[in-house]
Amino acid sequence: MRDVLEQFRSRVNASAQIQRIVKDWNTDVALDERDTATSWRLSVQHGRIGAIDCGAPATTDGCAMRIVGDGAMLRAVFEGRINGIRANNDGLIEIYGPMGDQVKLDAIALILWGI
Amino acid sequence: MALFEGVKLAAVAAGMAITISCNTVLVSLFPHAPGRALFTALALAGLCMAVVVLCFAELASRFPGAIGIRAFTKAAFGNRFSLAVTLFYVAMVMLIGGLEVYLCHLMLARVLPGAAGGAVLAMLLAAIVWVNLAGHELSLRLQVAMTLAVAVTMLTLAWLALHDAAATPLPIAAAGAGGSLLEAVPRALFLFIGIEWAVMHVGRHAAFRRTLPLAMIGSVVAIALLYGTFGAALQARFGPGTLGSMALPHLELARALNAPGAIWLATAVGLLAVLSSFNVGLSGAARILYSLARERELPAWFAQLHGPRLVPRNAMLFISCGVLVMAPLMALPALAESLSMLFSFHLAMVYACVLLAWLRMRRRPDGRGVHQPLHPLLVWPVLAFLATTGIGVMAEPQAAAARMILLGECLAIGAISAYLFRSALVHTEG
Repeated sequence: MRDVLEQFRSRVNASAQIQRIVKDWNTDVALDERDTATSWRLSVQHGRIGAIDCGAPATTDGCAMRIVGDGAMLRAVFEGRINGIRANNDGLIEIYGPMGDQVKLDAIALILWGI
Repeated sequence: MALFEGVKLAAVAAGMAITISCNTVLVSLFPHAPGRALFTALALAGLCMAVVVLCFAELASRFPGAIGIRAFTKAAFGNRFSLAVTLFYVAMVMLIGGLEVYLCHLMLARVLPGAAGGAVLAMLLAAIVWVNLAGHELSLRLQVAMTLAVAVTMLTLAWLALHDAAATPLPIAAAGAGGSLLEAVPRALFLFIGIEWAVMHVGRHAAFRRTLPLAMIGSVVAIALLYGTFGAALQARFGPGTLGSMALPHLELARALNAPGAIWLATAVGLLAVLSSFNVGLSGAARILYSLARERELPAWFAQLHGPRLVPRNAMLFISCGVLVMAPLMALPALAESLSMLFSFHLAMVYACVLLAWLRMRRRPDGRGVHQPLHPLLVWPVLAFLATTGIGVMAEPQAAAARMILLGECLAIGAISAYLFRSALVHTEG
């Protein structure tokens, strides 16, 4: 999972188009792997993804946004193999958090992978 | 944390259900459920709604964050039927928005001179649309405050009417016959509209277990008590013959009280209710269209994002235009008698679909789903009741205009669905 998230970070941070639309975005996104009870935290500051931390789900309690799913499904979403909204409406991943944050992640997926 | 989340969810749920159109529908109950029968109708509708919201809570626990109606019906019945039901739901939201705008126009025209009412309405609508297009969201505290303000003001008006020394209490009319009550309950269901929207605001999975169900059941009880009290005040103040034709009963009640400021208080209530429900309805319905477009079920035009806050502007403008097109329809004299029937039918059908989805999904194991204290033997009767009374209401002779609107709506949704699935149809035929 870490390699997928690091690649996602480098592509997001390197994309001028993405940086232009999320430049004021400050949040923490938690990704909970249901099957391994592992949680990842993506810290976003001014639209740039900074630290990627891994720990138990309790360590990401303060995150404004949370995406929950099996590890394989989360990897598929962050590799651009699956449309996040479709996966959410199909019950494959759970999404909690402000609508604005969800739309930003969705816009990033659209720009990076066109899905 | 659970208490705070519960209050938030209850405020969202009740805030959607308290609208000025609900007052209009409330008086349409009186011919069928006069006097104490009103409380019986509200109690029966509340029981149905309690079952519906528990089904919503259980289904939503399987699809956190998803567009509820879309996700449930897709999992239960497949993509095509789900798309049709979801579009039907969006159409219902636009119809209700149109009614709210029309009633707001009526209300402002009665309290402001000349064209001032129209100007204020245009400014208010423009402000709501602008706020949404700019990507601003009402803060939770403001939402809670607006909901509380509307509820407290309605109760104040009711209290004044019930305790007005000058009032001559009218004799409580006899309870309606069983058949009348059956016609009243689907209309009463409309008073609870939108409570289910709270499922979209759940912040953690544990809340599906108790916090969300309790918040929604609490909202059902609070709404029943609120409209029961307000309905009792209306019946105490006006003659039975005059009540059924009132478009703005809260304004008429304020006028009848002869209390200084009561009319302005009632107008403020109406405006707050419209602002709150229109705002939530606009952003919610636009979110549904955006989500469908991102699933590639609707044209990508609906999924285009604009501005620094990435707002689905096209979807919002589409909903806003739809509401503005619906508003003049609500002024049709032929529709005046059948508005409550039209909305009751929509609501009964949508909720019946959700209950059917629940009955199907209950049989499929899901580790994440949180079971609510429901049994199919309880859900089936509610489903049958909603289906039969909903269809029965639309079959009434005075619902002719409502049936025409419904026919147009079904044709439009059918045409859209056929267009969206044209490649699959051609493939199948080939």
